Amino acid sequence: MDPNTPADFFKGSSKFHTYYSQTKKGGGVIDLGLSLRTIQHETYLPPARMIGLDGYGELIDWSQPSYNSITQLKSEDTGHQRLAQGYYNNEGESRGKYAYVKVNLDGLVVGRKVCLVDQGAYATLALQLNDMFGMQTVSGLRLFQTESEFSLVYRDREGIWRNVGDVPWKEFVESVDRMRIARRNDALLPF
Amino acid sequence: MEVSNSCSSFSSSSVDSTKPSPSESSVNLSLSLTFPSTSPQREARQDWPPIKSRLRDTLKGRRLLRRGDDTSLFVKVYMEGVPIGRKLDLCVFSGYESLLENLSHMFDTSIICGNRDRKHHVLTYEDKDGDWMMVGDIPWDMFLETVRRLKITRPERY
Repeated sequence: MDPNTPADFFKGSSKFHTYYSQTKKGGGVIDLGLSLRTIQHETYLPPARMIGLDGYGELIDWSQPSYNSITQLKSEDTGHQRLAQGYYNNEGESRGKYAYVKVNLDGLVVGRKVCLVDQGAYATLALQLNDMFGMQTVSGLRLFQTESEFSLVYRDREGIWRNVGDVPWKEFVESVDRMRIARRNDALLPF
Repeated sequence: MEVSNSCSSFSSSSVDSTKPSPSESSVNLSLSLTFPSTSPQREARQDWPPIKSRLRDTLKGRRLLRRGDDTSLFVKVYMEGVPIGRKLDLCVFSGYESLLENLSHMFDTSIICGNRDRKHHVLTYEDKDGDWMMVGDIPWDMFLETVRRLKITRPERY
């Protein structure tokens, strides 16, 4: 795409220049040779309006004959497109305002979501996970405790599963993608 | 990308008929661009309207935004054990409380969310990733952005 940008810009400017010079001659309305199949109304655009279209050279395919009809629409929808661009920007990788990650307990189909910004430490995270999933077990999750039958693992941004608690909390919050409460023992315990 | 000689497309001639107002033309074009799927022939053409892929993606994003801004978000609701589902407009609710109240009335049962209880049905949802999650963990606005459909789960099933 980058190599094409200068050529497109030059092409757009060239068209605009030619159009403007034609207008100065007078002698009625300029016919751009548009095909009757592609346009319903031939819209006359004053030269002043054309001047503001230099920045859109990258967005409009100037090689097609009906570009002058689209420019009319283009000037009206600038605000909406700006909003649309904001929509895409929100899909970035940044943690952003919320830091909700999915948590699943082995054996349960329905998962939960935890806001890591609310926690601030591993201990409070363990408490909340116990509130969420503790009723599914006999004696609670007791995460990060030696005698617990559950261990908490997380998948980082690169897709690698790691043990929760190995890195500092802030580093963990930045890299966690989702979590899983795994049973240490492979045997299926009755509940 | 097709290349054409731009010089040959300019010619001068006089036209006697009166021109329609620019606003009228732009309104027609706006409708055409906003609903590109109204015509199957137009839908099949990938090179129409004559805009580049970036603007086409922007317009598609705008359509998505418009869909998001619409005052309706219908999702399917299933109750476990009931073969026929319902459809619900989530935008008419202000939050989880009104949603639960309406669902409890619609399915004539007691439904909770957020907490697991062995006596009540639990409301779950499938998100955009295809994962089934418990309703109530995330803010309502975030829930509206990711919910795909709902399921009322029996107490003993989870």
